[in-house]
Amino acid sequence: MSAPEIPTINDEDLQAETTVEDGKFRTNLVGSADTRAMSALDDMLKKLHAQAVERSFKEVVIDMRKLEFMNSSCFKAFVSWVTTVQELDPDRQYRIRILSDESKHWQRRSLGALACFAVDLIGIET
Amino acid sequence: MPSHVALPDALIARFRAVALERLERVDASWVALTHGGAAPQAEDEMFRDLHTLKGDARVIGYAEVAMLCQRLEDVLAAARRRHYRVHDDVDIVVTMAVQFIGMMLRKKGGDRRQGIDLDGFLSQMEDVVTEWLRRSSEAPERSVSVSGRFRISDMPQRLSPNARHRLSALATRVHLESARASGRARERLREVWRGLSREVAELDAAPLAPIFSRHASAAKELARALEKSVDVHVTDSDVRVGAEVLDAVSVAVLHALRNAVDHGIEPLGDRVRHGKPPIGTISLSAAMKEENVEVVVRDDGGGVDLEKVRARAVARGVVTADAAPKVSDAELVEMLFASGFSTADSITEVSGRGIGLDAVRASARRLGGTVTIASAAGEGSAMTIALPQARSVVDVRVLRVPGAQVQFCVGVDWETSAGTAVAGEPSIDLCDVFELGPRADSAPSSASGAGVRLQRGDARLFVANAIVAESTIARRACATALDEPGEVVAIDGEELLLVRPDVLLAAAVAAAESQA
Repeated sequence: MSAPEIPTINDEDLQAETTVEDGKFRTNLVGSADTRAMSALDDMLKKLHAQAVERSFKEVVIDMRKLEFMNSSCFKAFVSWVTTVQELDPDRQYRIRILSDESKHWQRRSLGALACFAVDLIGIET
Repeated sequence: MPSHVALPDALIARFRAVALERLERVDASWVALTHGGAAPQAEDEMFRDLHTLKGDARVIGYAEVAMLCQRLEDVLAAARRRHYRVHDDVDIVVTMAVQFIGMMLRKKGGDRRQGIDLDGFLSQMEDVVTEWLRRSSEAPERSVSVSGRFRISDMPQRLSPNARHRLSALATRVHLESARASGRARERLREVWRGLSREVAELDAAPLAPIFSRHASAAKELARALEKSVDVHVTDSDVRVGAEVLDAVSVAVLHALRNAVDHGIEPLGDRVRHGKPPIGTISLSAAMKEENVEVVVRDDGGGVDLEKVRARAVARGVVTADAAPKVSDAELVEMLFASGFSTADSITEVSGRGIGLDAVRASARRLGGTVTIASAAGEGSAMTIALPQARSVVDVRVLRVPGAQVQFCVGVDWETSAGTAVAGEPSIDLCDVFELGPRADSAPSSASGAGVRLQRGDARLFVANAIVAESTIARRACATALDEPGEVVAIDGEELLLVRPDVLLAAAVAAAESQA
């Protein structure tokens, strides 16, 4: 079931779509996220967060396995999101599970660093 | 301990607000430098902001923030040498490091590490940068520390007080082992002790010269940016200080130099008009005055503009307009140390960005020191920072234990009186506690129950077989933490064990309870 409240991104380089599965959001990111996608990605993550809190979801899954690249500006949007979740009261927090592709070097490097921002909340799976 | 005195909440809040502003500028400058569109001053501003943030964080006690700033500085310096042509992974990790610092600054409450993995992040950062440097055509410079956890030259600053105390405790154990040993083993162990204690002392004492040199260069750069001609003369007399003192001096000197360049030294035209040499002079000196390190930053500028301070005092409601004319010059100078006063509205961009004179004074006071300013209109100002050197001497009372391989002493905050053991009173034999074996000669018989009673407030501890001797001053050879039972001190060349009765008492009580 799709989540109409969460905007999709359907640019030439980046596609993002969020669905609701088993009481959690699952967002698939495909393509490449660079500076041009930053604003859309930031907007999407903010709405994703607001909806996850409103629905009292305990987990949000981000599937990055088909994401070829993400630049620092877009990572900033992710860091900002993670920080926002971490600053919530513990009973309102939700886990962020990131599905990654170990063969993608940048994912190995950068997602590991991202997980350090909230060790109890972020899980990186390959 | 003075270093455990909490800083005022308002000061910490201001530090955080200023630090977050700095971070925003660092972030913006980094983006501009790596993606194009950087203003000419962006690079200098970025390094200055990050460096000042690091120094402020050290003073305020945000050690984790200071550590990450240091690592980030290293990476930015490597990026500068490559004209900011950096790998995407480096761009991401720098961006994240800035965000990470911001997150630690925003965290409220006691544990700024809660929920985050700083060590993990540093490790990730190091991996990324090491790989980048390795792949990069330019070999990493030796001064860049990203490929190694520590630089030896930075160890005094990077080694935590806890680590230094642990090393001291180990050295003390070696000293005790040497006392227990005999023959050549004893001599060999004493050699090891002497080497270790010397190394620990060296670790705890870093030279001021490199910091002075760095700040003097920064002051000259700042002067050039402000189109002022300034000479900075440095005299440090090879003064070496402990890490905490080093941090406090560094921040105070940085603040004083900026202030001298920005406010003290007049523009060229004004100097010539007043018959002064066209080039302003700032002198930076350090000297040991008894147990204090005294650092003086003196300029030959116009002195503190007391009328401006008076006007600001009225504007801020510190004094009424009626009372303002009666405020003395000394009182006006003292107002510069009031909370937020030196960072108030009309201060320029340069010195207004500091954490303020109140924070500089607070950091000195935490170490039992002082910061004062003297000023003469038209002649210049001098800021004097006086900080007690690491507590290198301590007042003690000697406790002689006849026949013992090591003699003892206690701090004078414990009252001592000769007496006999009382049933039920905690009692120890120092030779037993420190496993120094049987005394070599005919000591006063423990069976007689004679010894020394130590008392501080309600705490009492009886030390069997000891005799109170002279009160004197001992030099600390290898300072251990306060929860260690003792440390080695020297009195006129003789090495004694300064014991901590409160620690021994707790151990004696625990032992008695376990036996019961």
